[in-house]
Amino acid sequence: MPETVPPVIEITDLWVEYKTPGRRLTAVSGLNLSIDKGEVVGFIGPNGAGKTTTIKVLIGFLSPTRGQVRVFGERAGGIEARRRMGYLPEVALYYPFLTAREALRLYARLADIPPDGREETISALLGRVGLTGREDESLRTFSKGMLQRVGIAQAIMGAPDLLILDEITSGLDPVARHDVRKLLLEFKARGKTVFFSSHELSEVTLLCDRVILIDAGKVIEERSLDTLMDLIQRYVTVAEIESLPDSLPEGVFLQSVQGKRYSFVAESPKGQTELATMLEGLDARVVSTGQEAGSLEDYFVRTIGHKIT
Amino acid sequence: MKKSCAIAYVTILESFRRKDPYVVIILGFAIVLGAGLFNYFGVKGLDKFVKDVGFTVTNVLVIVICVATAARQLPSEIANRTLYPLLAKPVSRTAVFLGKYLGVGIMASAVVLVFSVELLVLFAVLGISVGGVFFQAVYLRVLSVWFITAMVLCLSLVLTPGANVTVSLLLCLAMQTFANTIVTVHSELTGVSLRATEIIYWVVPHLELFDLSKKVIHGWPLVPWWVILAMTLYGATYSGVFLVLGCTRFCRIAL
Amino acid sequence: MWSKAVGLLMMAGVGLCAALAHLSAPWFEAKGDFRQEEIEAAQESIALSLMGQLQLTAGSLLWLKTLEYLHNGVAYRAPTKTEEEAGATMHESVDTPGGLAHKDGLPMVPDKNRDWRGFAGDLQREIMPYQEHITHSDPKELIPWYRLAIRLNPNLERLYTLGAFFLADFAHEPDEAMRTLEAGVEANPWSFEIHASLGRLYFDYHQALGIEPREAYERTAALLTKAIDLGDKEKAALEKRGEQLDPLQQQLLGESYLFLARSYTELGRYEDALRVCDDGLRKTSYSLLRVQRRATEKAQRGEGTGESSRASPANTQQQDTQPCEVYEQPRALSHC
Repeated sequence: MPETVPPVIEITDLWVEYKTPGRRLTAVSGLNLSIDKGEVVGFIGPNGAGKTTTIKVLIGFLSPTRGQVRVFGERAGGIEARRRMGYLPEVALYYPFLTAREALRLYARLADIPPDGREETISALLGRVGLTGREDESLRTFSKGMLQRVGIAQAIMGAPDLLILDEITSGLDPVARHDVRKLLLEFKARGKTVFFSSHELSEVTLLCDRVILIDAGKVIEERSLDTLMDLIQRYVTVAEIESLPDSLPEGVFLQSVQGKRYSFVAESPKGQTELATMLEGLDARVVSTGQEAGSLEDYFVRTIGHKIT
Repeated sequence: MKKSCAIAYVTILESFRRKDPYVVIILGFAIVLGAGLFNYFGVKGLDKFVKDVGFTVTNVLVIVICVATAARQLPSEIANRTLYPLLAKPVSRTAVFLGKYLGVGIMASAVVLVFSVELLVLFAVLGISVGGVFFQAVYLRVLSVWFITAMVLCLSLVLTPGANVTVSLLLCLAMQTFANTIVTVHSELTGVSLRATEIIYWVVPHLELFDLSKKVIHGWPLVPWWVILAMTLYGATYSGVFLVLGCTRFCRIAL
Repeated sequence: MWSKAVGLLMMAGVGLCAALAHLSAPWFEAKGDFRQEEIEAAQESIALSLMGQLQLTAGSLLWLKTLEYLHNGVAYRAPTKTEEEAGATMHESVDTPGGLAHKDGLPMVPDKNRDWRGFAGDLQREIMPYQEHITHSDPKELIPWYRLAIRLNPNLERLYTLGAFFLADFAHEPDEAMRTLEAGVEANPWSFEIHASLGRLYFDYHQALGIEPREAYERTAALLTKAIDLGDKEKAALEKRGEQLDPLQQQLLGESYLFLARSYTELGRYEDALRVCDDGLRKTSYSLLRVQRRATEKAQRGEGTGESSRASPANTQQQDTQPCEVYEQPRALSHC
């Protein structure tokens, strides 16, 4: 019987409550999720949805009020669990009085990187994140983007098996974002597990195998990216008709008009079928049909009822 | 332990790069030098006066820098979120706490030693002799800064830095003086107030027992070895108590 | 560059303000002759206490520090009522000549036989200065603290008298002692103690001060006359309140009569000297006045011309660094 590999992250009925003066605030309510080895999972949701709280529980910054959280089969926040993970926080400052090299040296010592080859590792990391030439400058002089690069360097130090990233490309310029994406794709190619939260839905489509949508501390939807892209697929039909009917089938919208040539968009195959029936009744001449990717944001707005910000 | 040493090293580096110890050492030296060289009183050979000023300045400045440095360590780490990438590594909160303790303790001890060397040089220049009790006084002062560091670090987890500095300095002052008051009034008390006073006496740490400066100033001989041993155990015990309390609190804080 | 310039400007500004404050201070000084009662009333005034208590407290703390210095770092205190009733033994001095032997109270660090703390008490007795009998250190070391205490509380008379005593007898600085007492007279014109001490200084140290003997005795006579007058007034004021002069003040008053009589004797004013002896004996019962009376009568008989005796010991003092030893009169050390 083949040995089953436990999930890298396993969250069961997670509740996290904060006690504030006068009331109790529930940040996460009954969250369940599981992430297997080698998956790249996007964790998206609006502000206050509970993304950062969940990530803090995974790292061990917070203790769950109820529920069980395991990382690599160990209790979340344990030393062994943290030994195999790298973490990039959403907003982190690094000691301003240290240079980039000194800061990475500190993290390398804490990450048990052996002394032999430590300096070479640090130099390689600095090169990888584009900080060569700036390694001996004080972090006080670094911009937000440069500090984020230092953060990425310390997160990937020691080639962790799990990378947890909170708002991965926040504060980065487009070139840096491209570099980060490239880095994450390399991680993915090496079979590492990545769990990240982001507001940038374009990051989700480029990187993820699976998407988890969270709101008000609960998982609203969880789908593989392929399934999601299928869901948001739109069907375009261009046809010539004498005049537009008074109403269109449900889920079908008029995209554009050019003389007698009308371009229709159906959100689902069912809508496209109903459109075809309508056009047949109008003696329309179909010019072209095709498919296009819909807006993920529109999809999520419809799903959770408000914008993801 | 290695990880605590790594954190201690960074803590010491921060202190020196902020230049706090330099300011204190230079200021202290200037005051003591002034006391020694400026013959304001028109009388030569005031050895005790120079020693007294030297020790008073040293004791006050050492306590101030120890309290001020320790008070800001953990609160600033939490507020600035520099603790996040640190604790995401395989290092326990206990190791982080101990690292901070080591760092501040080593820095404050270094300040004590530098002040002591300054005083010795000044005394030598002015022809003032000090006995072996001077070195015992330095040792006890070093012990006291380790104890004060533990106390302030522990308090830093429940007080803001500003409040912590104020409360800690007041506690240091109180711990220097309350014992004499209790001893004086003891014979006048009875019943519950007597018991309560005795409990306070035994429980609250006695900072005045770490201060041998009067013996140095007035040229007393060395104190017996058992006194130094007893004070070492005393300081270690109270430091341990505060470290345990602080560690326990730090390990439970939600970040 | 700008921050450095601003810093330098601020330092210059502070220096300028300090200079202006120093120059304008005389304009703000409260000028006026205050009587002793007015000063005492002011010290007890709540309003002034709020403003000036810290200064007075600091002065008192420095006063305590001088005592600590005198006793090799050992701090003493008065016994509590319970301790007195229990017969607690006050520490006695072991290194002072007979006339100056005294008890200074109980040490702040208790003796082992009345210490409830066991090992903790033993520990404290090793760490804090502690001795079973009182010993004294070189009083010269007290001088800076007296100076500082006087700056903080110029109306504490004993600071001047003790400070001058240590300056003259131990630091061998009679000039400084004279200046200290003169400042004390100016700040406390009602103080018989300071007048008396200044008079004694002229008498004992006129050679070191470079004053001609005749002039010195005349100054002494004038000062001690005033001291006696002020002393009598203070005694009367205290008796009105049901109090008395303390033992040191009583001795000082007696000595004032004695040295006034001696000054008159040196000046050849024998009748004045005898009158002073009789007055003093009547008012103070100071026994040495009888001895002085005989010495004056002897001088009167011996001279017959009213000239001062060249054999007066005061005139034969070498370098005038030692107080006059004719009667082996100890100069009292005062304690609180």
